[in-house]
Amino acid sequence: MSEFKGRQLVAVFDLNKCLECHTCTVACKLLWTNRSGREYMYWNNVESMPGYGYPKGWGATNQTADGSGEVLGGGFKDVVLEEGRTDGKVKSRGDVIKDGKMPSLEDHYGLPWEYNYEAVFEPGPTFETPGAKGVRPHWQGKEVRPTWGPNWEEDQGAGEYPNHWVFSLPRICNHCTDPACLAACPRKAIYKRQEDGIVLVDQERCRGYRHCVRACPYKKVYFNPTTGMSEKCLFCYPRVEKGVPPACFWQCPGRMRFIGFKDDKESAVYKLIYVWKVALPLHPEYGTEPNVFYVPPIGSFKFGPNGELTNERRIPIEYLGRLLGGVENVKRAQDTVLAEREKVRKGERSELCEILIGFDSEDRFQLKVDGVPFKRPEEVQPVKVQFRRPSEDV
Amino acid sequence: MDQEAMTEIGRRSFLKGTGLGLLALLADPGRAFSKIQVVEDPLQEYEYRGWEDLYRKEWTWDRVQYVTHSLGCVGKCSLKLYSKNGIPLREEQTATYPVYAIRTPGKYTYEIMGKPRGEYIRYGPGGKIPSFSPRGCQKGCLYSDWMKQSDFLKYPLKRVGERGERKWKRLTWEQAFDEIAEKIIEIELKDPGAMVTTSRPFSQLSKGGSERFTGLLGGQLIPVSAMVGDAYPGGHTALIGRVGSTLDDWFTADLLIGWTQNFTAMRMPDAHFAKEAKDNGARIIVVDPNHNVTAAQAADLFVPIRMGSDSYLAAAICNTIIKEKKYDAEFLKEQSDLPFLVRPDTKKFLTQKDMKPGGKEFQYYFWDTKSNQAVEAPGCLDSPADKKTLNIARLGLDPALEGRFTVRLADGKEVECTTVFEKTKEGLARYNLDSDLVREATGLHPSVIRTMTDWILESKSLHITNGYNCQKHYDGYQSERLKILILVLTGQLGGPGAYHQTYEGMKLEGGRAAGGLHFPDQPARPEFGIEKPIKGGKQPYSVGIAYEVIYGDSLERTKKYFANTPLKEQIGFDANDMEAFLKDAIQKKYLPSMKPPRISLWHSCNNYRNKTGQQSWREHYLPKVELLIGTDIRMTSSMQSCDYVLSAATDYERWDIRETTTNPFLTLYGQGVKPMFERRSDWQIYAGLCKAIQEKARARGIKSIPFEYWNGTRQVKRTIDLSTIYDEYVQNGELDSDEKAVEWHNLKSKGIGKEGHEKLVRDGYAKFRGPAKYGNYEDDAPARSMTWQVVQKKPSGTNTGRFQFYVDHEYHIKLDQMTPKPQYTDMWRGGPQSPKRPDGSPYPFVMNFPHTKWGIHSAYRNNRWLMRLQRGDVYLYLNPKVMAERGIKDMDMVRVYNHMGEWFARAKEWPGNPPYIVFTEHGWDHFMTKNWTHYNNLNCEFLNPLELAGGTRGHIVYTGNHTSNRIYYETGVDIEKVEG
Repeated sequence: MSEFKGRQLVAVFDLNKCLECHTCTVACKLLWTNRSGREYMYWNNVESMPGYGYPKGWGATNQTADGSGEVLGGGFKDVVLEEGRTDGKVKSRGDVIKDGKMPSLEDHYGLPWEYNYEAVFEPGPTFETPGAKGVRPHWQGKEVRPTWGPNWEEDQGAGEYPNHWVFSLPRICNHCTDPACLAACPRKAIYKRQEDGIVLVDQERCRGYRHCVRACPYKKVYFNPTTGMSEKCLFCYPRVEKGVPPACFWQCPGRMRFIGFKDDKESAVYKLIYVWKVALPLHPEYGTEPNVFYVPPIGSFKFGPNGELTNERRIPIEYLGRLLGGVENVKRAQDTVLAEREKVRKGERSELCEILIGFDSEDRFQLKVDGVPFKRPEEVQPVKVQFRRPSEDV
Repeated sequence: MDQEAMTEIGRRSFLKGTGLGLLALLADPGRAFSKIQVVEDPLQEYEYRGWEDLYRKEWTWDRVQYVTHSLGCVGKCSLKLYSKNGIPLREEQTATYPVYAIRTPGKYTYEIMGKPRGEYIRYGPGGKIPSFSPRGCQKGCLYSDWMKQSDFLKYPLKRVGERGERKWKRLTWEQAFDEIAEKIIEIELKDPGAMVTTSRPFSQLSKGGSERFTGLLGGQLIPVSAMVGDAYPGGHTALIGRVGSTLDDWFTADLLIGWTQNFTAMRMPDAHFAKEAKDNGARIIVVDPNHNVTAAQAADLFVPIRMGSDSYLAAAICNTIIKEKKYDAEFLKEQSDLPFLVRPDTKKFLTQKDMKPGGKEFQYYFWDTKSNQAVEAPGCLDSPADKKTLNIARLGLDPALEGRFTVRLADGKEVECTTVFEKTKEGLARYNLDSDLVREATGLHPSVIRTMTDWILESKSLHITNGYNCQKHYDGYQSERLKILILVLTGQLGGPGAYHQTYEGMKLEGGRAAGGLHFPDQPARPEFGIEKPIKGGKQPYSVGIAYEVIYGDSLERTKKYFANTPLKEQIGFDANDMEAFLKDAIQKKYLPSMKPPRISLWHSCNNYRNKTGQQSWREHYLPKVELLIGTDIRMTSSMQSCDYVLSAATDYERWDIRETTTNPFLTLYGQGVKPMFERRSDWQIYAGLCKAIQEKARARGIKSIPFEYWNGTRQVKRTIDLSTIYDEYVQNGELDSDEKAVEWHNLKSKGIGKEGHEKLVRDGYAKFRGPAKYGNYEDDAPARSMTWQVVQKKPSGTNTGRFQFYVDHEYHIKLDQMTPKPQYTDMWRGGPQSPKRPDGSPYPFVMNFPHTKWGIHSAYRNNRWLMRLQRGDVYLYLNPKVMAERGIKDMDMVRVYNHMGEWFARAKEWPGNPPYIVFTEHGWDHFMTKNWTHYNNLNCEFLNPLELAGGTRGHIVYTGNHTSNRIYYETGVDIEKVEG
């Protein structure tokens, strides 16, 4: 088994800070996927868990509350994780699973439907009128009733009111240390960059076989029907290699995303994953060693049968354990966060809480190019017309 | 190949399936035979990386400018717009806001009753408060896409069919100005000032231009908050005006209560301060009937209250604090009217008028325990200049909170007065935390209220956010007073704790500088026809209630709506009482004059979106309008009814500025791109209209028109001067370009000044200096409201100069609502106050339709990317049990109806929604809905008479905020599955 020996960018998503605002999704959409056959793709998406997620049924196991329902599959066979670790390090793995299902546009991704906005100008009956022509979702020239989408199950979750529970799960490509997509590609058109561990699909070498789409257990590789090739999240390498954080990180108003290099022991990400062990990998049992780590959510207290308040948290820990590498790791992460918060409440300092607060951008983004934590787009790609007043802008 | 064509190919190809790889190869034979190089192990090395430039080239642009947004959002986020060849591509938050709040030990300390209480700003670990970077949400980050939609306006349009028929003729700007000016002059000559404007976007030039134009024409301006139900009249009585700290203050809380505010979804750019407060050791409580995203993902304690019963919860908490004597007595003595004396016979405050011949109305008394007599409380509205302080300890006073005290009046009569505290205690006594009354009303188990109360009492920095929804409920007025009472009883408000209303405007130091563009206030000049300086100048006068209730004749609808509802038994007044109180208030001049809306200007205001009883309102309002002018960026449902639709520049095509209280920065609209098509900035549109009016008026020799009106507290006399209207609008050329107008505004303002203006242009924002909302902008701390009063001991603007909990207005006395307590009567047993069916039976559901995170009201609501992140269609949320019972499946079309109307939406399952609520997020334009129906066709206007209270002096008078709020949330409905 070959092992990646380059530098690896790692990310931490603090789920307690996610606002479920989808600014990350929109940031990615406008930068990369609003054109050229990518319209249906969400290199970044945010889904409500528990649920089928996006695309519907991603994973080798299911994310629904009771684990039932269709799964799309993928990952590696016979995965054995190293014991006593929280980072999902694989001890041994078998072959890549090649018979994962190919998601379909309508059933699993959702159609990128359009709207007939121009209808607002068209003459017709006034006001409340049956059959008046309005702005409706259309697909291929016909009005359509959507059946799935990237955020179809928003806030749905599980449980009965008032003990309903739900949390949001933002997902990008995990830029895995041992990517299933890479292992599955017969063309060897998928590679890992040695300088940052970013996994890319060569847009000249790819032949559109889509084994990568089937093999990725996170379903984060997409087939582009316009180009006939597969595409995926780039970790914004054109930005990152110049020191600019990826758009979904930079634009996150919840400030829940942290980025840095795995070998940078001073970085926030390193401390969260390896020192405090509060950030856990998503489905490490798939065997790909994903490089996006999640601080598990801590929900509010549950009510008893008469509406009385209990001491039990509403998000079942067994469920979180299923997603994030086992109940033990999740419990420890939650307890650590709660204990540190309690310290701060009493007026003491806490390195963990200070990291999680992430006071300023440099505390969350540590790409460390040219001796600075990060750079801004205007620094690395200045243009002539930049922040001018009208009288100077003729 | 353009984007649409590419998309089209993509769709077809996708469906062709697996053969496509081959097809692509055939289409590009060159590719098929390239790259046959051998790759050994792509985990270890990969030589052929030249292709990577492909994506690098996609991340390029040729212009980047600062931008921000208005649209009725209070965010004020600085972003950068990247464009190429004049086409907006994408935006990104500016995100250079610094970490500015760094603790200096011992700096922010305060005293109460002369005793030190330590620091009142609770910084984070390491003595810092997080920065505001980045500010901006998913909507702000795709304005560049939204503005490219084909429903956006490109050039001025004139209606050539019936209103709403959507038959248009394209005009040049000159034609439009010419025709509109002609009509305005005719109407102004016939009925001066018969104009009503609704103006929505928050920016100094855009909104300012519309208001300035309206003011010069003597028109009425509908205060936005009163129009949409965002006013806080209840809070006004206790605090004066509207308060709000900059929202980095949330971070300083050790207990943050999100009460009627789903802040994670509704204050996205600021929500991180709340989430990060948890890592600063804070707890979060969310009080809401829905297990919304804030409750689900931020709360430690979710309080699943029954809709509309918040006053009972707050009353139970206050009652418990008082009964258990856990209140902060010293704070109450110094900072509230709770020790003030009240006469039992008149139910009014004991005043100097009672005590001395020729005494003053707003000089009140408390019982000083040191001298054992009633003494004049310092700091009241009518207190002498040397007693304008709340520092009663320094004056050697120690008022009694409790007891009965005999006072001899000027006429020799003796009355046994009691205190506001006693009256408040008495009013709350029945609301026991573990009583059946509270449980039935709120649906909450006592353990929940007990825990909430204990956490409140334990808190050393209690912050309550009270969003816009509170006062849209029938008992919102009293709910808000009670929430403020919690903060005062615990000694928190304006000290270590804070109260956060949602607020979107403020005045900058330098008098009217911020309002300068809104309201021409220039010195008298003979050529303007003004004899002498007039205070207030030619500003439009505001009328809160007129728009819906008077012009929309909505009380007639209210009567039908509540025909079979025992409203009076439940809340103490009914629809007939509402009408009687309204007539009385008009007759007593508690409200401003109202003129007919012959000219109506809809300035980027989608009135149909926010009108209660939408269809009915339209049917009553439109016939009263002779000229309906719409200025907007896109063809909204409201614009479809206009006579003229003027194509305004979008937020990315103009140079402008804006402010709100959410953050301490003035933010720049830096003209991201040059105006596209035939669009003009709002400032220039109104300048163009003024110019055309002036030219025509001069040609006709029209003289100055005398004009007067009652503004709610006094008669204003002025003139309308059509022959100089343009000179006045542009101040003789001083303000004729957008750039000059912005600079003029900033240089006038002490809070910005020259240095600030330069910084604004350079950085996209500039931090304010000086006064904020009843507190200061600091260099190293959040601007916390009410610190002038609590820390500096400066009397507030209430009649008592303090947090005021007793209102002795005749309406409050008549309805027995002088103190904070639930307004509902004994007959009410919880649950929302909703109308009954014509046969008198109750509806099984109540509608809830708060703000949406997917739009700023109707703005962005139809954007394709945002719609694809939802259900693609208008939808509502139902509890899964209800769906099962009613045979409704996910995405089925549901008809929601009551005896007033119907609307349609698709069903979405949400176990976080209680079974009795039909929930949707607002903002849908009716043309997106089946049969063009609207949820606002089902609700109705409800007037709380307490909000009509007015007068000519003091703080219980008409203002844009202290006026009848629009109350419409508790709508009874039924549902059924339908085809579609």
